[in-house]
Amino acid sequence: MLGWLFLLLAPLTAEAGKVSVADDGHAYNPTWSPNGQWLAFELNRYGDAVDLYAVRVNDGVPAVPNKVNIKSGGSSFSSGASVLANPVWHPQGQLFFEGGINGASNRLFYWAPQSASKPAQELLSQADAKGDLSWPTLRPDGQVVAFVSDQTGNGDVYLWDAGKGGVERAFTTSFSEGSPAYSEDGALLAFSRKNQGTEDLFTWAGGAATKPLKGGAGDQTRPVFAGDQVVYFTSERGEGNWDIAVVNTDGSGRKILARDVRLPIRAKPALSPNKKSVLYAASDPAKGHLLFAATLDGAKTVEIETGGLVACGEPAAVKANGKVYLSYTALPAKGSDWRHLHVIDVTGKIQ
Amino acid sequence: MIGRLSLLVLAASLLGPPAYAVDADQAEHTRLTAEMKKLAARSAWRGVEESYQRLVTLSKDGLVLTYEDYLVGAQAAGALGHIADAYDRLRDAAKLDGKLEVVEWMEEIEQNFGSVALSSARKEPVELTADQMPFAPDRRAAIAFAQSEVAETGKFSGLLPAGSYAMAGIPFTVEAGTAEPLAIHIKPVKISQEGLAFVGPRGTVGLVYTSAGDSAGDAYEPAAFGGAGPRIGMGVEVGLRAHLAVLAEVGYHGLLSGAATIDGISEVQQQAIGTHGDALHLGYGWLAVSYRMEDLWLTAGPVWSAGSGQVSGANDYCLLSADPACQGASDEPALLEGEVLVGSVQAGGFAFSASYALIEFGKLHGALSFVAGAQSDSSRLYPWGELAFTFAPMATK
Repeated sequence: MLGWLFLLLAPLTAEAGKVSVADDGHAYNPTWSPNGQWLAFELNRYGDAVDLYAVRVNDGVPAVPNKVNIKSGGSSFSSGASVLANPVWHPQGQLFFEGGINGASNRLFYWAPQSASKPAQELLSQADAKGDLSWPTLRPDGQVVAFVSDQTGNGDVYLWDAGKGGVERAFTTSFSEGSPAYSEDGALLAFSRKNQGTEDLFTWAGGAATKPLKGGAGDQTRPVFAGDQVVYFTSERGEGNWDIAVVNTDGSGRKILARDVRLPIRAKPALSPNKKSVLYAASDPAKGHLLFAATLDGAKTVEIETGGLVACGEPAAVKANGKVYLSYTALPAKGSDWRHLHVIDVTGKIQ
Repeated sequence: MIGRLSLLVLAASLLGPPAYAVDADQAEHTRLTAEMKKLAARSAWRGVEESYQRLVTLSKDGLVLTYEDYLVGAQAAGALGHIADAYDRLRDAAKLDGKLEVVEWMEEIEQNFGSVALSSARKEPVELTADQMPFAPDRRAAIAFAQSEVAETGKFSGLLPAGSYAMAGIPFTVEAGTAEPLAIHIKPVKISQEGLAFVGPRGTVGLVYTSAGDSAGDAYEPAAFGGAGPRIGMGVEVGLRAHLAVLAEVGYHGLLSGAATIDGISEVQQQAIGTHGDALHLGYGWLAVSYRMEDLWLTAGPVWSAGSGQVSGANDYCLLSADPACQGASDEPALLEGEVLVGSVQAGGFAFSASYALIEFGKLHGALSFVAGAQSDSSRLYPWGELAFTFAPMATK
């Protein structure tokens, strides 16, 4: 199936560092802080309850995770189901995420690991931004938060500039947008739009106009920039068959990098620290013990052996102190129903 | 019996609040606590703060606040930007239960906020600005609270996030965890600094040619004369705006001319009369308005001069008049030209100058000026023109 790719078949094994969480639940969406010292992840307890955790990682060894609360540490304020999701890290090390309690309006929150037990604070009040807020993403300089609000009934992209203080709607459409992502220079915003029944990719460079980036059959979604290219998930081969593709920001040079990948619940395609490879897991259960790194030029794919785990997924990599660490979620081969988060040292295997 | 009861009531009242009062306070405490929790769940922090303040009032009557009361109070204060209050409430909570959440929160405040005492002596509102607004909502709220306090009262004492700020344009830096408050006091505005665009000395030095026209002819006075001389002035120019200024200048306006040979008289008569030049030595004062168009300045205003003069040549008034003032005056027209008259002059008029700024030195501009004026002493007109070097203050706003 991957005949047009050069597949490096030599399996690479690594020592797994398991993140232990007291609560039961499936770990999802690991997200590294820029300096590689913190790893945020979701813990899906079902029953509309998704908790958010942040764990300190020292030299690849995870400590005890901190549960992120969005209200007081007093139990009287945190009862009931809550969904805290889509963590993104500010360049200065604070965590932004979306969350809501008891079906109340979904808002954006801010949490600082330096005071881990302090409740997260609501980033924007209802007066600042109405509606359910979701998909927070940060401009690389950390000054602007882009997010989606359903204030108008459709998902629209809004921008909050911390320096200016105001929230502005980026552009006006009658469609529903989601999953915004900034280019490395902050000049371009890629996002997906539910357009004529499917999801397509667009870019916005300021002003009123948006530009189609990639459409076609199936859904193209969750774009992420890698230099002048955009990496995304695509289901153009039909429902349930997800691939990872890359396209230049001018729409040219599209190519499929990986076929039949395991689609993460919320995460965007994970890039290697040097942004020259995309990391993924295969949907084929027989390959569930492996993770893969495919170079964006399509020349090479590296397999990473996780060692006795199954259903591996949701990889995320970071470079810290000269080493490259890979986090992922996986089920043990036996003995647990819960998907746990693991951290391994993949220095030399992923750049 | 009644006396004993009264004593008991008195004793009870001296020992503390009556039981029913404590019960009522406890009931109010329970109600307020529940209210605070509901309001906090909706992030209605102003309401939480009001309820907390009512609890504080009750505590003065003996109600004991709980750890949760202090913690929720700290949350409200933090959300409203009252970080110093939040810290105090956290400290009170920590006294009751030193939980990690409280200790970490206090440490976070100590590590990220600094104490300041800002004040302004200015009558007009001053503005507090932050170089960079942080993302953290409590830090934004702290800055916003301080900004509103400074704008409304001219002062703020409390905690600000570490960073660079400016108050009334005066920059300062807040460092986290400092023991002593950073005191910033904005002094009253000096008029030259705030109310005016610029102020400074203005001076001019040049060569002026002055012409004294014919007199009205109804008195024994000098005939028309003229000559060149120095004109030197010094004053102050005040910029009301960058382009508009007023100035006041005082100085010396001189006229010196050489003796002329009188036609129509003999050499003997010439020697007898001698040769005398004309001279005027005037002090002047000039009030003017100046309009600046970049490097070109146009200035105009009234000028008044007073001084003394010695002039050779009288008018022909005495040829026809029996005025006692003419006693001793020559009755020959040619000889009148040799008459030397000494007197005083007081003349008012108007002066205009056009200057072009060429150089800068310090806070001053140097300009080449053409100055012209016309003054009258009610007997004659004194038009004059000057080519001068002028220095004046730079417009700084």
